[in-house]
Amino acid sequence: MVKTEVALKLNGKNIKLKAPVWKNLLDVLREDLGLVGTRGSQGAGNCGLCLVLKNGKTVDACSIPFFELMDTEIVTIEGINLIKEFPDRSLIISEVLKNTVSYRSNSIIMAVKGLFLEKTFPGDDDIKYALSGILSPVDDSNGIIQGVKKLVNMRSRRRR
Amino acid sequence: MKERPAKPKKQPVTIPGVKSASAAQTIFFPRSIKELLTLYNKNPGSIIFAGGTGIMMNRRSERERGGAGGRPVISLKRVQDLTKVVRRERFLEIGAAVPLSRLASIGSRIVPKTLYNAIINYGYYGTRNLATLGGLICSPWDYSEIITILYALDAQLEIRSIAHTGWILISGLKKADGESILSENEILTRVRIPYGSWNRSYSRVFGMDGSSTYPGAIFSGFARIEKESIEDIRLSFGGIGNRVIRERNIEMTLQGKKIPLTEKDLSLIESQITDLLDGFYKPKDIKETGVLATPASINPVESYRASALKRIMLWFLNNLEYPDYLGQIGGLQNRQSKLYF
Repeated sequence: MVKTEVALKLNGKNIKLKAPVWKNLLDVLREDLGLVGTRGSQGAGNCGLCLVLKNGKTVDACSIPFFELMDTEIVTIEGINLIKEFPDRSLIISEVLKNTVSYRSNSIIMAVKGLFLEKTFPGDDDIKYALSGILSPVDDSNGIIQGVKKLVNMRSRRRR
Repeated sequence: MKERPAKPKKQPVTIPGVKSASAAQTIFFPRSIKELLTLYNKNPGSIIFAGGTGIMMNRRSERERGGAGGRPVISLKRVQDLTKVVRRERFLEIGAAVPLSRLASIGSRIVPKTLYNAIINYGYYGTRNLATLGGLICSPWDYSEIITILYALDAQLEIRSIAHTGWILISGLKKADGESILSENEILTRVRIPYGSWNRSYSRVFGMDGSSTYPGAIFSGFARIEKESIEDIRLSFGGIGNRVIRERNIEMTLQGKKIPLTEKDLSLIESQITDLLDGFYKPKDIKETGVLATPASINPVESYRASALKRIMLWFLNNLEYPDYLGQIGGLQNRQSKLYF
């Protein structure tokens, strides 16, 4: 298999990677780089487990082929604290993830982070929009939404 | 011994502003529609890559994806002209590479509300940031609620090649067998959604645990009611035999009728819709002779979808006089399917 080289910024570091052009980002992260915090299941864009930030937007790692990574900035769960943005991972864990027992906790963190990068003070609809399809029935969805709202309130108090 | 002359190397097609990522599989990153059309004309049959949600899902193995020496790929991520959204007086014009999240952020005041609801319920956050409207339309699978609504709204598509530009109705994009009519150097560039003065609208997705990317069956209905009479009505059905169905005869039958519809009207419509939907899932032998020659060819899933669609269409027609009720139920259904995967 002929590999191609792509330069990108991964978790704050400029790196060059070699991989087959159609290999998806999820496999590159897990197999080539050992960043196993990004989870995956079927690799079909259906489950919402493999969320990463690509140029500040939350996207599925399984839907991004290697060649699309050229000149992009990728942040995975391992590099989430490198973003100089409030709220950080520990706050999300303490306020949001206490309401979940699911395998999707990393995806929830990435979705909330992506939401905060997109909107400074997200409203109720924005929070539901960001979390839709990610939560599972075993999660306390109301508790998670309340947790994100609490983070929004903390954020607005800090801004004042 | 005489040396064999070296075989001349095949030069990849390059034009200014285009990068080639791999020697084995050429990948182009055009920056304008003109460059894109030129490249597509020189490399007919290339894979057009927009969001990737469809291509990556259905081409899991390297060999399926073209592998080494496969078809060239044209990535749309740098073509800014395809990411424009323009609001006109009578329609909304959307570039083919506009991601669904962008349409969601524009809001329901500009995007028709039923379509907006379908967009915010499509897949989840990561998928909506990647999936593009053009990609959904050109996908060989018409399972999406968004597509069913676009059929009902008579969306128009701008098809371009290096030689010509033209507009077609979305219903004309695919042949009866589901294959696209686009030739190898034609591409979808813009989608035009007419603003209709609809005062009743409803869309419903069934089955597959509320999944919006692979729903079981989809119904979308739009109507304009003036003085208790149906001025205009659109009904479209998705998920039957991987196609979206819209039957103008049924719409014509309903136009001009007073609401509430009489029992006679409803039974006439029911028989029409039964004939229409049966044609898409029942084998030919049972339709024509009443005898089932090949038992394995009956598809119970399609049968379930057809009966569900029939029921919800009749429910919609029965409730045309209650616009608030239709809106509330539509909203409730959307909210319920929103939070869980």
